[in-house]
Amino acid sequence: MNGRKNNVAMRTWVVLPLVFLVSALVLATTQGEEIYREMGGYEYGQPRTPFIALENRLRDASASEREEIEGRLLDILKSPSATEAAKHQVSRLLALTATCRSVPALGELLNDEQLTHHALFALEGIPCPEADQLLRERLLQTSGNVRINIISSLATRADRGAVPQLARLLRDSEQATARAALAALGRIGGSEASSALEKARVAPELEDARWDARLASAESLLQAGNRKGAAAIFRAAYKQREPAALMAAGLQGIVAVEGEKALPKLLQTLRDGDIFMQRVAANSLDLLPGPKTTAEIAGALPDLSPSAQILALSALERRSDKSAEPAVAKLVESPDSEVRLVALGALGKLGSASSVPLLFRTVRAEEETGRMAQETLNRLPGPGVDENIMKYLRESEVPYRIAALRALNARRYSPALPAVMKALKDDDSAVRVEAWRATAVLAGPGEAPRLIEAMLQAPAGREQQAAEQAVQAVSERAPDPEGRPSALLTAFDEASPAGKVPILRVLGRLGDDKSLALIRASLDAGNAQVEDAAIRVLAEWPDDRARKDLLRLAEKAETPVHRIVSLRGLVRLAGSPGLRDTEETLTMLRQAWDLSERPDEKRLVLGALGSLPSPAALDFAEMSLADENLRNEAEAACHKIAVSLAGAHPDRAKRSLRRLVETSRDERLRQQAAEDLQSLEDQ
Amino acid sequence: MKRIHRRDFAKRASAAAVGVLGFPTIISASSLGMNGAVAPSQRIVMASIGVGGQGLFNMRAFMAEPDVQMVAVCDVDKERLETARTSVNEKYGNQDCTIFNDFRDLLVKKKVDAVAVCTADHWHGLISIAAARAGLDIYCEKPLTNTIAEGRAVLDTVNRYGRVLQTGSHERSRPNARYACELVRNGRIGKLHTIRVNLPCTDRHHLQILSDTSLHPPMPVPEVLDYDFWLGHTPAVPYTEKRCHFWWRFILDYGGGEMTDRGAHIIDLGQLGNGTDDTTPVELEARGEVPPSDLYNTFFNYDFECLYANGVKMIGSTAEPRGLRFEGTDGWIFIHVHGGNLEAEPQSLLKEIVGPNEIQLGRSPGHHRDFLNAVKTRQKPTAPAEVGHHSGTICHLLNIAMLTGRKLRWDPEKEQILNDQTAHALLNRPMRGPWHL
Repeated sequence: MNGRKNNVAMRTWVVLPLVFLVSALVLATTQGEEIYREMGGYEYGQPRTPFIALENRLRDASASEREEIEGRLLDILKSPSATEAAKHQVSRLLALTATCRSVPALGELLNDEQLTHHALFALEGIPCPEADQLLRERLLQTSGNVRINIISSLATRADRGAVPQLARLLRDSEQATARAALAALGRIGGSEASSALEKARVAPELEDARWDARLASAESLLQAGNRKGAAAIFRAAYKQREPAALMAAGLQGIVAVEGEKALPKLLQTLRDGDIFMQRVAANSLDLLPGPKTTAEIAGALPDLSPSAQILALSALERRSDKSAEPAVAKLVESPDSEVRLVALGALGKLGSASSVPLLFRTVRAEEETGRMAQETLNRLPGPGVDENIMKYLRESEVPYRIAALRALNARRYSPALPAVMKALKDDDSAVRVEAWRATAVLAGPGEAPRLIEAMLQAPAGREQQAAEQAVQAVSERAPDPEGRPSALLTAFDEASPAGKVPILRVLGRLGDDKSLALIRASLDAGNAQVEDAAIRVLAEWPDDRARKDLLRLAEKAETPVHRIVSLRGLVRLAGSPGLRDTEETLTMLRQAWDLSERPDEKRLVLGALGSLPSPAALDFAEMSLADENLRNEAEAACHKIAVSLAGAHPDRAKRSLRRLVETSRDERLRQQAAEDLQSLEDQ
Repeated sequence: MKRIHRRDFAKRASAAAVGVLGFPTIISASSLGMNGAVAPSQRIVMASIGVGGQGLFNMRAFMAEPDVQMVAVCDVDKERLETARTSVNEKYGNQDCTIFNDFRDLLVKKKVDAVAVCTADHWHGLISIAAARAGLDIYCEKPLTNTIAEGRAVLDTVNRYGRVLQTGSHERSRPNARYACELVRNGRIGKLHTIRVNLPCTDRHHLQILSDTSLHPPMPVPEVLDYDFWLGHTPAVPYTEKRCHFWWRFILDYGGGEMTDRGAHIIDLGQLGNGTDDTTPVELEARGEVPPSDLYNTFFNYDFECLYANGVKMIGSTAEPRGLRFEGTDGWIFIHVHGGNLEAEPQSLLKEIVGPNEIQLGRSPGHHRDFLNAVKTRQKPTAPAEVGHHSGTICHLLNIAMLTGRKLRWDPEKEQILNDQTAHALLNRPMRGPWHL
């Protein structure tokens, strides 16, 4: 077992072990006597300390200790002065240790309704014939809920010896008793119980319970190899027709017993039954494996209603028998949209390379069907599928080329890379975007130089964005981290100022030291376009290595725009508090605050402050509560910080929450703060 | 005591749907019933049973689907019932929503196709069984049941009547979680050897329980609450406020503590990534501590270890952050729960694409929508009854291991604890009459 790695508040874990230690010490000494006396007088709502201690003790007790504890518990059980609550608790402890020795004392409790239930927690699990005997005897001597409790325990013990007595109870004047006896006979199962259930004449209100028990007993007969006996019950249930659930269970049972012989009945139900029975028939098809059934279902498809077609298609899909592909494919063009969807879903498992043309045609269908066809193309299994999809890259229709690129991307079919890269020069912009996306997945780092060259020619907008993402993905795939930016660094030297811009953006996302050095150098490139790009890339840099640069630029960059971009970058960086300790983050935010000239940036600082679980951050945020321009953001930050301080600084948290409750004009916030304050006060 | 036997019939039905026939239909981008007008034959008429916090959330999520018509709500708390009724009537702009105190009345009197069962955990089993017997499909909150015996009974009944059941373990509907599990299943982290489960107890409500040293004496039952019905089959004990709404989950009679509360998400994802949705571990060991409370008796501060037949270990504790890490010979992937954010080593794992000829787990169109699609197609939903039962079984076995303090040897096929009769008896809890399985 592993050691504990718990972060629960210390105070919690101070309390628990102490309780266990004290309890164990108490039990281990002569004061144990006193503990047992206390247990006898227990009432609900009093401390359960002695019971908890004894339960803990039992877990590690030796056989002799368990025997001793069992004896002590039985003494309480037998004591006339012991309360009902005590007997309840003692019975639960006996459930963890009782032996045959406990049977008589527990038997004494099987008169009173409440005590019977408590006693059965212990008695039901005692593995000896005396317990069976006792339960059967009490069955004859009790009534009402006491007897029902005993019936249930006999069923749990699967006591076939009790079947004759239970059978007699089927005629009992108490319907609840007869109902419990029916259920018990069903649970116990076997031919004797089954026979009793068949012969039983019960009140109409109990017929549902009798049939359920009969079905359960039929299952036990089937398990024991008595197919004939089981079949008779299932057929009888099916013939009842009402309620429908009974007929359904009967049909399933018939299929389980008769196998393929029942297939015509299932197909007829699919054709003619109501939706309820159609669904049951579809379920039951799963019980009939083999190609003959597949062929029959496939053959029946055209004559079925749309709802039955949905069911039959799903059943065919579950069978994974590809011989059904042609029949399923036909329904991809059904006039019913739901049928089309389910047929496409099924084709995803049953289809093959020959389904590819149909799926491409369907991709162009209305939105939902088209999307499903694409998904099916993406996951269609089998040989030749990828090659067939590639053929559509040469199609004149744009949607075909897009669908092919999407599928090759999703299927990660790397042999398609040359054809995919060729599509980077396609006449259509949407095709080129898809080609970039596929390239991002399929290309290796060796392709980086060619891709960078293509990226530099990509038009601005979606295509440029897709190209940059592809170059980034391919660069990141280089096995050696040092080598990741190499192709970009080389290309940078030769690129025009406009070309350097996207290269800088990709380098910024790679986030390595070499890239950072180049970006820093580009701050003084002597070209406004390159310098602007370098500042913006730094503002998005993922970690603290850019912190000093951003602080400096926020102070001293030449243009106000660049100062604001840098400032915002600094605040964004501070908003990732996992990168440094809280104190340092607070320092960063103070610096950013001091450099902020506009409320917009101050609001961002307040937003970042909210993530700092620190009293100093709370002090800082509270300073802006009086500023009307910043009030909303300051209140939100105060609330967030106060909640995070609830464990470590409850008084400070309460003070801040109270202030929000008293002064906030935001009703929702005020209410939330009030609730948080209340739960803090409750602790 | 004799063992609980798995019925062959139910097993066949269940295996046919998950193990043998593969994963459910992928209707990922598309959703049946989303195409404007919904034909009456494709409309799903629903009722919500249990309309507290989660119940109301689920009810509203279903009502947001165009092919759902919510017609009734049921709860033992009149205030909650009224809130839910108002919500339904406001949605449809009428006064047609019917209310019920007793789910049995609802099942008899109201013609519905499906129900959402979102009560306290101890009621999931009996209500789901009754709904399946009435021929309804079921969306049942996680954990599927509060004992393993109830889970087996639900699974058998759902299979007997051919019903669809979706367990509310919605984390397995998150695309990220399914993607991570696909990476694991396709060997991207090498050979999986360990699943490390972090199941912390550091939420405010955990801390409140752990630091609560006050007593909870009996109190008068509020007029709006049918308390005896709320207790149902559990022991008759006096009312006290902190026993019921929300807090019940930390009392073993009604819930399994954090082990089942979030375990039913995180351990459930472990099952998905390990490819063991159709089974459970063969050995389980756990230690935990019960808070010093007069009321709450579920485990906090626990460590556990499970061994699967495929050799994979699932090792868990209250460590943070909440989620699970699949560890293989070539790397690891961590799924954060809730939210589904992923971390991995190497990080490049998260850029991997799972190809069409690899194991595909499909994508869910959302846990509620996925259930509705399954109602219509009869495909298995993302978290069918057998999945809910198996994940729930692991959580319950770990609680039993903590209760008894013993290492359990478990037969997943027969659902038996092999080495400890006392522990085996804890698979079931006797029900208080007139309730019974």
